[in-house]
Amino acid sequence: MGEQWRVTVHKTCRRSGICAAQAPRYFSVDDDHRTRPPAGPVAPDPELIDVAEACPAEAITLTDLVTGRPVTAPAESAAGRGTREVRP
Amino acid sequence: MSIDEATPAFPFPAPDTFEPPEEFRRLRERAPVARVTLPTGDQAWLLTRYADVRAALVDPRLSRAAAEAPDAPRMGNTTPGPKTILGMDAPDHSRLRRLVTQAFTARRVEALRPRIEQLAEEQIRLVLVAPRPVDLMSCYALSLPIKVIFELLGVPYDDVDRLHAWSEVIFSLGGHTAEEVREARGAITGYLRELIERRRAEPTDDLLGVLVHARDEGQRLSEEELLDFAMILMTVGHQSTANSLGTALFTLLHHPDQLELLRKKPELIPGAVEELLRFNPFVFTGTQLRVATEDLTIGETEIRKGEAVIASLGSANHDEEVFADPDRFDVERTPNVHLSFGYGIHHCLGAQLARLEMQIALRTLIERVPDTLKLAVRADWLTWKTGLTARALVNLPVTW
Ligand code: SF4
Repeated sequence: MGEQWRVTVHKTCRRSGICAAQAPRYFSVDDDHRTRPPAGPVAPDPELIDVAEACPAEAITLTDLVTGRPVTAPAESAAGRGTREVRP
Repeated sequence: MSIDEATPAFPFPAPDTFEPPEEFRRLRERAPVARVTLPTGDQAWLLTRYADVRAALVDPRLSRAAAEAPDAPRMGNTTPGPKTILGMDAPDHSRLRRLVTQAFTARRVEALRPRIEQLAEEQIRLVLVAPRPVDLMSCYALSLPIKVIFELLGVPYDDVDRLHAWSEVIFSLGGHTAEEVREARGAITGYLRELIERRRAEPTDDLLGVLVHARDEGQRLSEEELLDFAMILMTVGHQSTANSLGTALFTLLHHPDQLELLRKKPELIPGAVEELLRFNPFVFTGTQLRVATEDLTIGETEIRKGEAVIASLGSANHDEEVFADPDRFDVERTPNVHLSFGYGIHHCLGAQLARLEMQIALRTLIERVPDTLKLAVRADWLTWKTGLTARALVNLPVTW
């Protein structure tokens, strides 16, 4: 089974629109002006890590669905080691 | 586009001091994508509706880099420059932004709170002992953001006066000539070049040190990009916060009932700051001009490759489609989805810092200055600097 990530946007989002501009394939903006992550799981993509790191509110979390751990850096995505899990 | 159509001059003249120009409302209703003539004689498309403004700011076909090309349409005689983060598109923009993003995240900025509170307290003490009327612009709104950004960057505070004077010219709010702007820019970069050499001799962990390290160890930016980045962080970093804070204080003093509400319920301050940002005439004119890199359509208007587009943040902030009773200043407005920090990749890097500084400055002022605080002159006697991209108070005399 292929590795999959879940993308979440926390309510700390400050609506900068950076993610929606940088990765419109993944992030959209609702009629109520809220930033939405992809609805379902997505295939791992380093672009998502870049976007999560660019978020000024640190509101984007990537979760590896196999390990249940947050994805923090490319090298760690497979191993999923290190950081404590913060479930949204 | 038809040639005979009247093309109004833009920026619109300020109607009086602090209302948004009436033209914005008219254009939102009748011509949301309007042809305007810029001070250079060049033409541009002006976007005034919230939806169009926001969509334009995330549209990669509307390029900042193309607007820095030598033959691109121009607003005035100065632009940020192609080697600044403000003059780039992805991926160059992302490369530069990434170098400093970490210093400006909500968490990192929050860690600065105690220091900013201390600086605000120092400033307010000076305000309290100064002979009245006191100019809140120079004694408070300007000095606080300058101290914060100088510390963050690692620029010696002793040099504040000349650096500020040069920044004023670069921002060109007073309508300086191209020659004057070039000179001021040369002076600032000369100053920063020296400072950077000192960092090379003696590394530091301030923001300038971080950039120098990224240049020397990682080759992640060119020397020219390093200099321009430092210049942008220093100049924009204090000018826009100072001007927005000064205007915010004015807006509150001009709406005493709202100020009173904040005194009673200081927990409203963060929301009030958002409303003050929405109401901020500092962004009435627009954003940096963008140039279409291909033909595209906005609403019903065809925009050709090479044409300029200006997304008016100030107009978007007053769009009745998004904000109920948009011209009313209401510190309890919620939600408040204003676009004063821009939107998309160029969303203000210092947004969290500016928010925090404004919140602390307001709270400190409210707590420390007697309730009788008021403008020392009639509101319509105040002088405003009107530049091409922004508007700000010259001074803000208050008494109590
Ligand atoms: S980048 Fe972060 S703060 Fe900005 S819209 Fe996306 S989730 Fe929100």
